[in-house]
Amino acid sequence: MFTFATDYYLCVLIAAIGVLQIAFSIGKIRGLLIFKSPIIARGGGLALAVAAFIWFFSTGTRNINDYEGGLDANTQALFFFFGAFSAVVVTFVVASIVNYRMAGPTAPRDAGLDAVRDTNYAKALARSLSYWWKNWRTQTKDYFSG
Amino acid sequence: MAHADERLFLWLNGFVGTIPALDRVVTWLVSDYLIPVTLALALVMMWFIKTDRDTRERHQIGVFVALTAMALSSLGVFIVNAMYFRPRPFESLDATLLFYRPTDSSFPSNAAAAVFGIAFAVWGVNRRIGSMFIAAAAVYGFSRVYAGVHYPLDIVASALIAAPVAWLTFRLRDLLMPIVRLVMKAVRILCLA
Repeated sequence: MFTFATDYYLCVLIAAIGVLQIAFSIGKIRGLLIFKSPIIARGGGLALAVAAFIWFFSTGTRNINDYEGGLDANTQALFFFFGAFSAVVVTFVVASIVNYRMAGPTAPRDAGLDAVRDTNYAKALARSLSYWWKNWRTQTKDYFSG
Repeated sequence: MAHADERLFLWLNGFVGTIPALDRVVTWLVSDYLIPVTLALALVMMWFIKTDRDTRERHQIGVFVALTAMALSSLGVFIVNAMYFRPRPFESLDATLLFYRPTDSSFPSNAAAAVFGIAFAVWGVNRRIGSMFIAAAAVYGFSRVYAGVHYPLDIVASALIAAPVAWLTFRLRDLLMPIVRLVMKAVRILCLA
């Protein structure tokens, strides 16, 4: 049987995976979409988020004080961060596998999220990190200026 | 004023038990885990949703402003709580409770101030998304009165604390920028901003 905190973490993880798919679909970040069809990405994402909350609230009493087994505000924020971060990692791994063959035009070195618009995330990340690795002196200087 | 507040509370809380389906919905809405988590997920969505880089960056700065406004609103409530303690309505009145029994001061509502802080700050960045956030915060506030956790004035006071705090945070966001820019540069290296 999962603890309250584990249930909450799983709820955030699943809901965040759904929300990220909706956001990447609307933001046209195709390299991070698990499903190419906007209808499936948005509809599936919404269904995932709603299902996570329904599961969380229907599998136990959730209005519990923190000293009776619930979570205080700080722990709740911490587990939200863990859940959302895990969702980002899961999405990146799955989307990198699903979009393995996707290789759009080479984006500028500081393209950030735009680099993943038409490119597999793993490739875009490798390109960005290798640029930093090769030019770390100038990049670090740039990082702390302006 | 306190008398009118109590009367309004008793009138709203008096509906508990008349429509069981509504009570069940409110039991979910009043939870610490539905509306606050939904708003937090909406902030995650705001981070990625815009297609052009400038608007996206404005939204991403808005996420930092919203989180700062939330923290400062909670700080404002903490200061008021240190000076004034108001017992919870279920302790003083014949109220029906749909929530657990919190032990801290009823006035002002910390939970409501946090969500109003986020909502007002987001409104400063994007009126359409911000209006949805404010509507969600208002529903959250209403549910806390209906469920017997707060008086109406507690929620109004929370919004009145959160609004100027969010406005000030939004206006003074340039002070946050050195930290925000460093974080965003780091996140951009990871192709996340």
